[in-house]
Amino acid sequence: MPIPESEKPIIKGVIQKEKVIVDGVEVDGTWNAFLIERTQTGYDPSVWDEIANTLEGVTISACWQCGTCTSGCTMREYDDNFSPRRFIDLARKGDKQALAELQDSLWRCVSCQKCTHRCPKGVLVEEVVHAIHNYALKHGLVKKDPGTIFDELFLETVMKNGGRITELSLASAAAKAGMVTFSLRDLLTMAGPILKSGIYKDLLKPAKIKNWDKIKQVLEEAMKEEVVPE
Amino acid sequence: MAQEKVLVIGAGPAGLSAARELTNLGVDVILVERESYLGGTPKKLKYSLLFPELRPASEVLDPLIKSVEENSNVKIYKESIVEGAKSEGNGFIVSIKDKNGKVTTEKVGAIIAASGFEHFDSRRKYEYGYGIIPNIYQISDVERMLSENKLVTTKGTPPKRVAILLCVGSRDATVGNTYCSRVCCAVSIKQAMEIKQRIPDAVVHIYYMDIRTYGLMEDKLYWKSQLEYRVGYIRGRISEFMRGPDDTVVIKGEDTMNLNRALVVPYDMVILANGMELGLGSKQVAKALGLEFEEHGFVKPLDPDRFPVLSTRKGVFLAGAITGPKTISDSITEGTAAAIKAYEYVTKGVWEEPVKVQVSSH
Ligand code: SF4
Ligand code: SF4
Ligand code: SF4
Repeated sequence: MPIPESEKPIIKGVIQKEKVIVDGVEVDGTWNAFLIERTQTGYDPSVWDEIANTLEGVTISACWQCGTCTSGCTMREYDDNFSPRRFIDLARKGDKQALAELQDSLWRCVSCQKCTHRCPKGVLVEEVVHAIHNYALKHGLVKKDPGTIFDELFLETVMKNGGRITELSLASAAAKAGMVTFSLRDLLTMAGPILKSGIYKDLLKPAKIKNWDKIKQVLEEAMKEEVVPE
Repeated sequence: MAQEKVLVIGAGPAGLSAARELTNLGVDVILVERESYLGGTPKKLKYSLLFPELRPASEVLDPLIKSVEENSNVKIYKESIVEGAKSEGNGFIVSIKDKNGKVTTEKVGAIIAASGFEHFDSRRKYEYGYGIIPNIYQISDVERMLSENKLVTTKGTPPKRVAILLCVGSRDATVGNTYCSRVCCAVSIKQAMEIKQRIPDAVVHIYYMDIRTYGLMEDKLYWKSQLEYRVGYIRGRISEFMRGPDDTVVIKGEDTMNLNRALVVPYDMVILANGMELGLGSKQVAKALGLEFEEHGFVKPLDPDRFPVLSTRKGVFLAGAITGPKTISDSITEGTAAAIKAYEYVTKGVWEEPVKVQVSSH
């Protein structure tokens, strides 16, 4: 019998085997399909508490699940599973498994801020979405996503190049991390103008910003700190 | 003119308010109350804090009780019921029966029926296990547990995980109650906050279909409970409860906001938000007075929009939850309204009949 459309999400963990032997008897047909236990048997209330105690996540408690944020969300159009409303709901309930299953969506907010401007309860939705994602990263619910990898590359490049970023340094770092590839043709097309204009010196070794040594210290210090709301 | 008298049936918020108002207007009152004390259901079940202001129930009720009890123009029959009311002229001869069966008659100019409601008995929803599975309570039980500071599970310890299920006995055709009881959302959210005030590390989840903290209660209850107390809301009506290990209660439900998995969640305590019904007391009153019922089983007003405190019998007025689920403050307001209408009736003979007005269709 086909599985009703409405029940599919609940039993998406179905195991179907070619050959199953139970007590010496071979079973076949519909009898060799098994469902993975997907019942929610408890919520972890510490998730809400931890997120609400971060500077970004503090407004999560105000949400009343109206869905205004999600209905206008830029990312939603591209990803059916991207729902700030739902992320908030799952985080507050403490449904870690469901959050983990959303790992390919959780990170994809483009920070357009439409949600934050429209939320009738004053939830800073964009910030809260990031706070939820950060929680998931910190607790190993999700693997490191391309967005986070790029953020880290970016920061690393800034720190390594005296506080500045250049196309070349960032692109080569991204290429090294396997995020972009350049064809020979791309490189040749770029090489001409770069060489002609003479900016290659700056691109290869950008000048440090003023007082970089001091600023670097401040930045390093700031990156260590965890900011907690009052 | 002889001293005018009005019979008030029921000494809850509506009846007390009507009695006080009538004496302020110089009319004598005969107050009949089934219980041995005044205050109605809020006193009987020992209500704790009242929504939305979270003030003690006694702060609202006690002054009202005192003003009526100490008023020499109010004659009080406790532990008594009204058995019948015979019309005589514009007034009535009423017979009042006490608990020993002794019947007294009184002559009154008008009657205000304010005998209120009764809480739905959740045993009628057998699948919820109330009265069978330990640690399942009703909001009407929890009020007393809170006001007596005895909110504990069968183990004698404060519950750390609490689930509240809304709409028990309301909005449910299986028990014949197709209406919303209006106050149970507010009461439940208020109780959730009271629980969190006393047990800050408790997890409180409210299972709901809609949150009806209408009017000025929205932010004072619903918003506040999430912002200040982190009360969790899970959309979906629980279908059954099971006895879990160690006297826990396991709920079976569906989270309709996230249709990805079935819910089988254990709690230390479950609270059923049981609704309001007319109850046997008011049914008896309606029968004794010859009143009609409306489609939900409450007493029918002459015209629910134009004459909400007039009954279908001339000279009989209605106040409070006898005509449908009502808050305490609404009942107090209606008591005042019914008193004014009864005053007009006994002093000037005013009784407005609903006239059929020809309204042109648009
Ligand atoms: S718009 Fe605001 S209140 Fe509505 S679901 Fe989104 S975050 Fe929650
Ligand atoms: S900021 Fe992020 S979550 Fe908000 S609307 Fe834009 S993409 Fe969606
Ligand atoms: S007030 Fe709330 S809990 Fe009560 S019947 Fe209405 S919707 Fe249900």
